[in-house]
Amino acid sequence: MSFVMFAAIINFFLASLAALISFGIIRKVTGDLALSWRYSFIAFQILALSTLLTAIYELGIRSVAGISLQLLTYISHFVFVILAFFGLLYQYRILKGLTDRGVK
Amino acid sequence: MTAANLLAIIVTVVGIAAALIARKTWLLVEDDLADSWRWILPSVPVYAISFAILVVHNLLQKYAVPQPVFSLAFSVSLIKKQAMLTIKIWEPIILVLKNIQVLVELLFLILVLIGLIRQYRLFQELYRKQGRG
Repeated sequence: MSFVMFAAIINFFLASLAALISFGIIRKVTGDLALSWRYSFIAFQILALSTLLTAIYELGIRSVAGISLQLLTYISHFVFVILAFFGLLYQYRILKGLTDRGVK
Repeated sequence: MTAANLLAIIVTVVGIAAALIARKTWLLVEDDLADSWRWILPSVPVYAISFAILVVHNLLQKYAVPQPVFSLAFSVSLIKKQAMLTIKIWEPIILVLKNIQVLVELLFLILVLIGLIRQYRLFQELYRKQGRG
C-alpha cells in the first residue's frame, strides 16, 4: 500500500465522519440554518467519494467506464467546493440577517 | 492543458473565494460560535493550498523536462587525485508533492472536524435549552 493510498483512505473516513456530524447538526437545527447544513452534508459525502476515487486510482485503476478516474476525482472535488462555497455563502447571509435584526 | 488540470485550477480559485466568505462569517459571530468558526476558517485556505499543490504536481508531471529537478555536485581533491560526486534528483520531487497534497488534505479534514464537533456541541446545547432534548 502506497503512502498516498493510506492517507486517502484515512481522508475517506474523516470526510464520512464530517458528513455524519453535519447530519447530526441538521437534526438539531431548523429552517434556513438546516438548509445551509444540508449543503455541507452533501458536500462532505462527495468529498468522501473523491478521496475514495483517489485511493482506487492509487490501486492502479486508471479509468471507469471509459472515463479517466483522475477527471472523475477532480469533478467530485469541483462539486464539493461549489457546494461548500454556496453552503458558506448561505450561512453568511443567515447570520448577517440575524445580526442586522439584532442591531435594529 | 487537460480538462483535469483546468478543473483543479477552478477548484483552487473557488476554494480561496470560500475562504473569504468563511472569514466574513467569523467576523459576524461571537463567543462559542466564533470559537467553532476559528477552526473552520483556516481549513478553507488549507484546502485551496492542497489543490494548488496538486496543480503544481500535475504540471511538473506533464512538462517534466529531461533535466534534473535538483542537482548537487561535490568535488574532492586529495593532493593530485580528484573525486567527483554528483547527486541528481528527478522524479522524487513530484512524488513528494503528491504526498504533501494528501497530507494537507488530511490537515484540512482535521480542522473541519474540530470546527464541526464544536458547532455540533453548541447546537446540541441550544436544542436542550429550548426544551426539545
